[in-house]
Amino acid sequence: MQRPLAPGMAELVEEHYRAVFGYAYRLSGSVIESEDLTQQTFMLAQSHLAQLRELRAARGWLYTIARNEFLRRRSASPLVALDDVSEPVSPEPEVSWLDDELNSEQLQAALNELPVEFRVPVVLFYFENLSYRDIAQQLNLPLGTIMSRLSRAKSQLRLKLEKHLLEPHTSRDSQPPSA
Amino acid sequence: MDCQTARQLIEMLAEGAEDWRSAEGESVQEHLTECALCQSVVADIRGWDRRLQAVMVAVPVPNGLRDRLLSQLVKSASPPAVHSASHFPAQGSFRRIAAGLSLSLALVAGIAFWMSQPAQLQMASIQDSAVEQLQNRPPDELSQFDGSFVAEIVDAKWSKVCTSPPVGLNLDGRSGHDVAAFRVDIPSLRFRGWLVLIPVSRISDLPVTSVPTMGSYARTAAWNDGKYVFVCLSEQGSLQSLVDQFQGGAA
Repeated sequence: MQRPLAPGMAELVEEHYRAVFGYAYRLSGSVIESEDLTQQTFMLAQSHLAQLRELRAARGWLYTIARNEFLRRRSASPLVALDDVSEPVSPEPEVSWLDDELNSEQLQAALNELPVEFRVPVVLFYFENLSYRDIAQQLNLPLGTIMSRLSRAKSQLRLKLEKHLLEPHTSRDSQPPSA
Repeated sequence: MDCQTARQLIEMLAEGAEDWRSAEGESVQEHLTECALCQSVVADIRGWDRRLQAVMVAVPVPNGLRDRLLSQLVKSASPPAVHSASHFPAQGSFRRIAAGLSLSLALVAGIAFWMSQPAQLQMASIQDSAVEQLQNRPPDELSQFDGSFVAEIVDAKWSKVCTSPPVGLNLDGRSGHDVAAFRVDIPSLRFRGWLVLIPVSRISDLPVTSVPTMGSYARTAAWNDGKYVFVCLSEQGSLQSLVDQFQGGAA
């Protein structure tokens, strides 16, 4: 027998599912995994809805659930130091460059090359617009660690993206991912 | 404050963040009023950050996602508790007691018959219960599969990674095991999880795919081969990698 959703749940989905999906996509880099993460986020939200005291805090709360779920899934993967990340030997992911404008897939391709422990603070900084202190608090890490990771990750990201922006547009005809 | 310190702090002070009102933030602002070079650095960083932020939040959403989410949430809402409407007040009349006893016996017999019949299961509830039982119970609390159906894996790829005898799970609260679960251990993929088998006749909402498909629930992939429904659960490692590896071969 099916039961109607908890009061307010449909509105919560309606208002935030796009943002939660986008957040999950930036973290995972996979449309399938993002949809799965989004679903799991709302399932968990539904079962812990009583924890949400203020509606205006809903988005941050959902982001936290999504991030924790993402990190829980990745917890078995060994951590990789940024120094140990070699240049990919396979061809670059096919992305459609649009002249000198950044686009979503281009950014995701660069994000995907960052190890998770560097990618997560970057997403918190740019997507959630959190300060370094807030990121340190959210991830339960010392401020110095966050400063160091963000500084290196942001430089890496900028280097990568600016390099692509200056390159000839070899894959202009390729299709964007099916997001 | 020197330029190097100012630039380190500039980077960590998010635009418009309260940090700018801290003592450090005020020192940086003071430095900026006097240093044209640092002003241009700030302008460059802010410009880049704004550009990146605008692209970061612009993610296209798959068609129908909202409906799929709502449908899954409705499915996962637990069924309401069943409360008995019958209530027999204690009465002195023997006839009434006898009638009550007869009714109770009939009720007990009915419940016993109902309990002996396997219930139809929904994919969402299978995945919920299986994940909960397999991942939360200590291994010694999982009992060996009782053989309530023939649980065999014919596909060579899957049978190779499911080496130990299956454990059984009861999902419908009635007698006997409803599913058989094989431990999956693939060191080369750093994958560890379970492959759960359920006869298709027990499922009310069969997955239409015959190849492992990442799907409608966290950390699971489901498919059916016409005889069994298979659900693979990940405890460790990427299920997506495993699915990619085995894609095209049903168990």
